[in-house]
Amino acid sequence: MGLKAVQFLGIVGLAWAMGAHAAEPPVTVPEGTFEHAVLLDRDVQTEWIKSFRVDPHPVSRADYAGFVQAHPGWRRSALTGLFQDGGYLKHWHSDLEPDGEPGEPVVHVSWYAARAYCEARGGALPTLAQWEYLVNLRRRLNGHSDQDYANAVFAWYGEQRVATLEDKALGLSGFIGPVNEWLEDYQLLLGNGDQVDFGGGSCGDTGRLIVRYDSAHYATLLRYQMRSNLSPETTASNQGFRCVYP
Amino acid sequence: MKSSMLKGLLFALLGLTGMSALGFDQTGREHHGHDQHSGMPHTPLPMTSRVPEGSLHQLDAVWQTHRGDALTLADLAGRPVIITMLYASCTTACPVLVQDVKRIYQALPEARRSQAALLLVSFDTEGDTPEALNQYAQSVRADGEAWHFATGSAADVRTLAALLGVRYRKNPSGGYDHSNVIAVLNAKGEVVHRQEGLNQPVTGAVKAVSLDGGA
Repeated sequence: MGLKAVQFLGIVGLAWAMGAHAAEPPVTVPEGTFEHAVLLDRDVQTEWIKSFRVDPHPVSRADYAGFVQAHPGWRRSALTGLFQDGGYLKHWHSDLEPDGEPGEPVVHVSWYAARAYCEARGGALPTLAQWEYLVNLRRRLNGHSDQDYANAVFAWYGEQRVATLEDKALGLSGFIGPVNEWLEDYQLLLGNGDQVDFGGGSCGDTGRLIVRYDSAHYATLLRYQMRSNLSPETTASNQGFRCVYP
Repeated sequence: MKSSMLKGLLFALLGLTGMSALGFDQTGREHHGHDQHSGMPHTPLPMTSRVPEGSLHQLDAVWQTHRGDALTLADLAGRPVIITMLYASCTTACPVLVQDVKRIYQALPEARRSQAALLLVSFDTEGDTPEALNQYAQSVRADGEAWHFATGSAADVRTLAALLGVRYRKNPSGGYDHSNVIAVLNAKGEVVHRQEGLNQPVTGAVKAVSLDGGA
């Protein structure tokens, strides 16, 4: 693990030292209109999002340890290469003992593993629309300016600096650091009538469909793109997740 | 603008897996590209070995076929499987995909053809009931014993698509936009060939099936 990552975990450890978040109930998200910043369908600018519930924080290591305790097939020693890239939970001391602080977000989990966790909790990974709707909602309810948002996103992807934008309105942590979060349908496929193979979500394609060329939209585009580049078996030191529930 | 930020933007713009480029501790592979599995060396395993690490037989999803039968990928162990994903109300790409599967199947050497299973899984978990898929199978004249049009849960469809490197999304007209992928599983359930696009030559898929010695 690089020095940056150690520093990063140190900061997170401080913030999360209060312990595991398993006991914290999900937050109910109000229904509303999601305005797409990146038009995945050329003609769809807005989408109605039904109310749902969401974990207030990324899933913690303690939470995840509880999951693998109950589901031996998802322990590090048991999970085959079909569902992970070889780095699954690689810093854990053993199958059941996480490294670091128990309240820190679990990382080095593949998309397959994240989905299995949420399913076991009676939930699912957020859809891209649900998660990005939450990002917009947090910006609006907390009065974060477009420029502050853009700066936070660029700082996170550039230097892995966690956003200082606080969410007093909904009380949700994360989103722009301390981890990137897996989504159910994170891989982009851009439709243009029958021509669907023209873009597997490469940035040139995404870029053509950005709504406005300002910093905030550009920051969002960057996130869509970085996320879409991941393979479902990818495990990474900055990749975690949270769940949503009906 | 700081240089590291520029660097991040640059890598994202180039469509690279920007994270490893930024020095993150990432052990990720290249993203599921268009050609990930073709040309991948396939090491035959002894018949007595357990399910290989990359075998799709590990996927425990239960599919419902157009004949009303329950089917798992593990049920097809020992047989080569030609697999694709489509949906019945699709009038553009999907009929071509069916024809592509049919062309591969018909080009197989007789001994392999009699073993092969053809699995066509639907994206449309609501509309494509076993009955609807049965009608579809008749309409595209693909109802021989080898053919299995199948439906399953939305989560299982998403998992299978991820394993095959298929991207899809429901579109505003109620259909699905999707990448056109045909994959070949060997008798052990490993992906030994993968092709993307319509009307592709059958040679790669036929060769992959022919080289697999069976169970």
